[in-house]
Amino acid sequence: MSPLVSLLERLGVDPAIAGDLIEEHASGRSRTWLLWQSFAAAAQATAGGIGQHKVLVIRAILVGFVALNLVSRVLIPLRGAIEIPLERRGFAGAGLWFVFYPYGFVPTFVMVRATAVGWITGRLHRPYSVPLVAGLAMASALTTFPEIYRLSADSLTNTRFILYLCLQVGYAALMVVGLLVGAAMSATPSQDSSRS
Amino acid sequence: MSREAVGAFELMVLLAVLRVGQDAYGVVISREIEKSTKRPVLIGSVYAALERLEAKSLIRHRLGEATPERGGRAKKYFTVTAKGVRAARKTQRQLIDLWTGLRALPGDTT
Repeated sequence: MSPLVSLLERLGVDPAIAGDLIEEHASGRSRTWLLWQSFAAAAQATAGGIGQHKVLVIRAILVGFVALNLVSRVLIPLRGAIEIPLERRGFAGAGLWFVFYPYGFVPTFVMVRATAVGWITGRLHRPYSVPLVAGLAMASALTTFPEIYRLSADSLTNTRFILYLCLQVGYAALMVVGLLVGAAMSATPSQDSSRS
Repeated sequence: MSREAVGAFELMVLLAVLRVGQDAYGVVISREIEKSTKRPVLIGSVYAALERLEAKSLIRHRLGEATPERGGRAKKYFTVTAKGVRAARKTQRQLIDLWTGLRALPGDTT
């Protein structure tokens, strides 16, 4: 339970709420209750943070897209430097990269890139790292919607597009998760006098 | 609705704080609301309402001692201010005025 409560505080939840959740769980509330309450408290803290800092959210989105560009400039050549020599030596599909290469490589790359961007943006927007990066994650998800919409429409007429639709949805989800993981890593626990 | 107006859930939280008295903190306020509504309440929502009420100066909080049972997190005790009591009374009068003379509701079978 302690890691969950620490995570909640990193997500900007009031330590008094964390204390109440610990107390209620200790007095017999189920783990499902604790998880549901924790999820709701984190979502409310994030939504509240976005609502209170609208201008900072816009700045975080701009910073995030610049960071995405810069991180991509570093990681894409690195990816090529690793991938191309391996393919030349016939390692493609040999299970070198996370067992399921080459399919595991791309999600790992997307996740690492998103986490790095989330961390950078979060570090530059403390103490509101998570709500502001959540705004960036929403903007990032919105940019993939036209492609997802197009692939959804295509999938209705041709089933071979379903695979591409799944890949696109997976990419959007990985971006959101990676950004939030990076933000949580960069955040400091909620500073409130109710914690000793 | 004006910034000073009290919403339905905020009113429930305000009344729960009044009912509990001096020992009103998140858990007991939530239990009090659950007891009357017979529905589970999100502790986060209760705190969000408490925050809004505090911003309107209808309640105030003081910190209790941090205890090991709460993982070292202190309780936040809430009390209703004089302005909060006036707001609760005003809302009560407004609701009574609206209910007065209302004999039957459309579709009411009881």
